[in-house]
Amino acid sequence: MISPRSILSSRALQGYYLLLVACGVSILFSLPPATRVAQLMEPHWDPPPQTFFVVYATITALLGLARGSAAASWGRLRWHTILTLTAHTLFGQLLALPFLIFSRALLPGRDVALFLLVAYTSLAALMFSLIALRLELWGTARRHRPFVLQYTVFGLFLAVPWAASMIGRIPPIVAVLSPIGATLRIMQPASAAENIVTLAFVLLMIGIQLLSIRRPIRRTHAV
Amino acid sequence: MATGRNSNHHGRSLLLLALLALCSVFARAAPSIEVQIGFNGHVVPERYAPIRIRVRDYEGTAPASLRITQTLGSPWRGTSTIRQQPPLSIAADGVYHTTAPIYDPLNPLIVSLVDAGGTAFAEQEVDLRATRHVNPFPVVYGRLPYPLEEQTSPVNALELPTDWWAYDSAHSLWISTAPARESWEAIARWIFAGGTAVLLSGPDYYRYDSPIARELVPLTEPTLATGPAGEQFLSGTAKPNTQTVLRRGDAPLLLVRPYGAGHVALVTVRAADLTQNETELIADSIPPSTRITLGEFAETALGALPVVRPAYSVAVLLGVVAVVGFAVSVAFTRKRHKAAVLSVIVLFGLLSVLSGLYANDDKSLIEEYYINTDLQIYTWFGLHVESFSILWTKSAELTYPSPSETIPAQIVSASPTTEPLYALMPQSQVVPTAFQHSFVDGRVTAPISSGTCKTFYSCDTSAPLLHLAYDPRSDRLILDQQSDAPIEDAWLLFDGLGFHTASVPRGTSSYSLDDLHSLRELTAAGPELSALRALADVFPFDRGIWLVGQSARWSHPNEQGGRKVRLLTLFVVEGGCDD
Repeated sequence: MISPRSILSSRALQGYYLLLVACGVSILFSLPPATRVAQLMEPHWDPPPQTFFVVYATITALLGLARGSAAASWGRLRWHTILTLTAHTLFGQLLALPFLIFSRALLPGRDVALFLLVAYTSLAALMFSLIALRLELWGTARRHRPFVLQYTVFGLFLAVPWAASMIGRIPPIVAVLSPIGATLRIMQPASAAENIVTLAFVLLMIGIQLLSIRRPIRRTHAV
Repeated sequence: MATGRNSNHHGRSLLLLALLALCSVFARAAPSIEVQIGFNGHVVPERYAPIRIRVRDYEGTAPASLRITQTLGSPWRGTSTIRQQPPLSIAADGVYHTTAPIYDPLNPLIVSLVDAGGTAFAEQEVDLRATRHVNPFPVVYGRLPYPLEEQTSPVNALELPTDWWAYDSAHSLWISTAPARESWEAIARWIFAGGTAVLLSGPDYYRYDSPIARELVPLTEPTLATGPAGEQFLSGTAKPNTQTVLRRGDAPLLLVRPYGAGHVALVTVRAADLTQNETELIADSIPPSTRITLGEFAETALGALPVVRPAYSVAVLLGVVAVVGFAVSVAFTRKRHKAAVLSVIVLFGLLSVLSGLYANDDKSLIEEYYINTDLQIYTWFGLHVESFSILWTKSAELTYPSPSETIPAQIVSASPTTEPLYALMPQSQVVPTAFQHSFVDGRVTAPISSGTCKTFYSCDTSAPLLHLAYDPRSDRLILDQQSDAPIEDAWLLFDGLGFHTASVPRGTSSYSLDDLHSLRELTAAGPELSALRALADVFPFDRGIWLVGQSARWSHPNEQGGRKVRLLTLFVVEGGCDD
């Protein structure tokens, strides 16, 4: 019997398969179909090379959300739970590593940006896993499953800041609050200040989540 | 008292005079410029025009530059601005000449003198609306008894440009007075590059006589002859390939001879002796000027470049191996947790290494494709027509060093910006934004939208670096190659028959005329994008002695790995016969 908190549990494997398939498909879509330059001059639309990076960041964040949601059923909430969640997130990054290295050919000369993106997605996945865990604990206490709420929060995080940044009056930096916007900014590549804001926001969110779930952990220990 | 008042009054007058004198010392006239564009102001959109600037009262400490600002379009069609900085250094008062492409003369042009900081301190707005032409027009140097259709007022000697590409807007150049030597040389170059000149010397040929005139005129050793009515005309032995196009009675009236890619027409009688009907017949009989831009060739060569990117098959393989490998490792080792994780780490570590080995710089996606086509034409002089085409797979503003010091002209690209509905209008008036660019400090900066191609070309002169001659004693072609650029593929042609040679060494080499093939066979056998094929319709390779050559090389992608550059050099050498 495989423990549900194992990296190789059925629910975890579903997420990893999703990540592998999404990375494989999106990397194919990110390659231009043209074989000759003349084909690039014809009216056409190709998904930009950034497609892979956006899909990778989104699916990694989604994987974090799924693992965080599952973590609520792992029994007593302990600091070890957070470490396990981190391990699950990093395992996802290991699986995406061959695709990430291959993707260096999509945007050549941006190795630093790619490294930053991996750091950002790892932190973003952990952030979403903690948000999902917190919502799951909140739902469990009220005896209903916050499945819809989790994915609504995820969707809002993903789309709203990014879409809002396109409105003229809102500063474009708002885009970095969304994994999509942050990915596009990092791969542009962004300025050092933008990268700091991007990473600081995720770290801040992780800190807030850790602080808010510290109480349930203490209570669990007290029991 | 009166004396004191007078001296006081004188003192004030002296003070006033001294003040005025001081003012006159410090005050000086502001610098001004007087600009003349085109032939008496006549220009054609998207073609080069000569520009003459008279600078007055310039006493700057540092040389000034000239800046030409052209506005294209209208608020309804959209507007764009083109800024050009010719390679002129203006250090003192005088007359300066340059040549620049004019795009949309419906808007006024602003010509400014700018200091080193780019601040304009003298400028003139030039309105060319009333003198713009849609198509090239005949330019007359000297006098004609009857005006030609669309003819502008005759230009004087000072207005005859000395840059050969400045004649770009001329349909034909009618010469009834001998030009100055510098202008003759420019005219000869322009004709060789596709221009048409009509020499109306008639019996006054001896006033024109010069080595250039003898080279151009379609007669060897011209002599005077007298017609039945007692009128004098120029006669002589026609040079090879000369055609008598019009006659007056039995005597030839108009002789036309191809010269390089262009034509020289000789009117055997004086301009003043021509009737109106004859003038009109001559105007209808001469071939119009053409110009060699090689833009289409450059864009075709650019389009033929392979797109550099990782292969689909490798991406599919990576995805399949990752999914299947993960599934297999998990299936076989799932119950042994540590072994499973270790096997996945090993598998994905190995995949990452292989992925990294594949996705090296050679497979990196290229965003920017650039082709530079340098056409070098040599006869007893040399001229260059250099074009470069850029394609960027995303929208950006690009800056490139121009291959030539002269102001490049943007030509209408075959990309979808061309509007078929406005085929009769100059494209700069239809899609002004497509022409937006600047040429400052020898660099071209242009916004390029994703998937569109921009092509520029520029012209220049050079010394003849290749010399080709036929030696009748040995029945061999002798080639003297002094160009730095290697010639990889070359075709040597003798009256439409020739052969291909794989390379031409630097120095002197000779070729026997043994295994000759027809021009058609050589063109068909050559590569799709060969100089011979591209230029066979431009130069009369079926007559005379020619060398057509080409070389291609790749420049290494830059450090960012985002640019692919191909450099093509095409050679056309017209040979002569060593007597």
